[in-house]
Amino acid sequence: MTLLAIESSGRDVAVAIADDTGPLACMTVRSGRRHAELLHPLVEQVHEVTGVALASLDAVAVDVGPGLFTGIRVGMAAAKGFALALGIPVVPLTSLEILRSACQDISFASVVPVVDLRRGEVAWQVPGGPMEHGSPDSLARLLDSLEPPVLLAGDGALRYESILTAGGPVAEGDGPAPQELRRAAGAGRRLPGDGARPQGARPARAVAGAALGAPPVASLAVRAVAELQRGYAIDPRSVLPIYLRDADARINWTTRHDAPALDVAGAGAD
Amino acid sequence: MTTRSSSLTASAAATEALGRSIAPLLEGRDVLLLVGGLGAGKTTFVRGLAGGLGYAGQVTSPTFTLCHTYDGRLALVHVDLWRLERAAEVADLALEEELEEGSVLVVEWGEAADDLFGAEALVVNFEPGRTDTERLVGLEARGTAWAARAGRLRDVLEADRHPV
Repeated sequence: MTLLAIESSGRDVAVAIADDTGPLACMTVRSGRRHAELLHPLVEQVHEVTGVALASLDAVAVDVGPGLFTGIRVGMAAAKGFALALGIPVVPLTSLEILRSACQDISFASVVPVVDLRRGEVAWQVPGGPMEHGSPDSLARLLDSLEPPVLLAGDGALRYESILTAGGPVAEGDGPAPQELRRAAGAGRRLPGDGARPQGARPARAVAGAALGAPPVASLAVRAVAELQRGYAIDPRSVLPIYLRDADARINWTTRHDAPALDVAGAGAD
Repeated sequence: MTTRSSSLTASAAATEALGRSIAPLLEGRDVLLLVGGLGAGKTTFVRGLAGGLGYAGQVTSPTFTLCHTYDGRLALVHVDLWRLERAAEVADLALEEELEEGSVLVVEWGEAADDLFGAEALVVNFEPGRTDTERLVGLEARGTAWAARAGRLRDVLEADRHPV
């Protein structure tokens, strides 16, 4: 099974081709606001360097968010376009699932992916829990109930590191210090005395480094291949983005009078 | 913290000139909410802002395209919410993401984005004057980011108060 993976829900725009043996090629660019213009050249290049033809793909994997609206739309549109044109399914994964996958070999009792939603909110998922969103403070309170040590990963964790690691994060006794936790997370090493957590210590929290400032496309690709082998792939027309925006409501227009017929020719109103 | 001031512009050219003279005060991540009816001079004002930031191209109303970006000293993201009916459609424009990039956000029919940005914004209100071309332009500087510039804003309006 071979698939094309598209990651553009955050800071980076990234593509990969992977098969049952792992990623064949990954390309990641810190894109700023250039997701749309960079994505297709990258897709072309990743096919060129791997020699994998578009026609031989079995699926397209895509990060459906939560994250940056503009980035998610670019990735979703591309994934759906390729899948529809090639007659293959899509493997949709959330940014939180991808970040969790990226942390799976790191020995922390609890891994919590945290994605920045802007507007002062983050999205997160505690182990075994649903996707949630709210203020960094509300997440910080929730972290107290998790089994320590806790690893926080993602751009939301990096942005709100001081809030999320404050309030009882310091391990006492034999527990690893936060700096050690962070180094371990950054290098993907196992902690000293793996599995042995300090008795009676307060929750220790660490934030994974900038390598996890966006969901890594390699993690998306590898996880998606596994999902595809398990039969998790869906019709591209059914794939939906995860925006996690606030409750919808009608705009309470008090000033906009029902206006004359729209001048679609383009002169516009005002 | 809110400070209010106003300016009477006698013509479209004067409305554009007012935008041009406010442009030097703009900083990245500023939000301007423009309030006023059809033909009130909002787009004309934005043309002045963009020109004042050094953008030399065309400025047209994004009524149908929703969003235009003009690159000058700062990127000016020009948005028009007139066609939108629901808060989710405003959210879908991801305007916070534009601000994160350091752009200036200028929103026509800005009252529809008041919940999102109203606490920290320059609200520019356009009302008809005594003649077809005259406009009363009210400026309401809200929040700390604008409080620091209230004096300079007043100076700009003073200097602008001349017969055209």
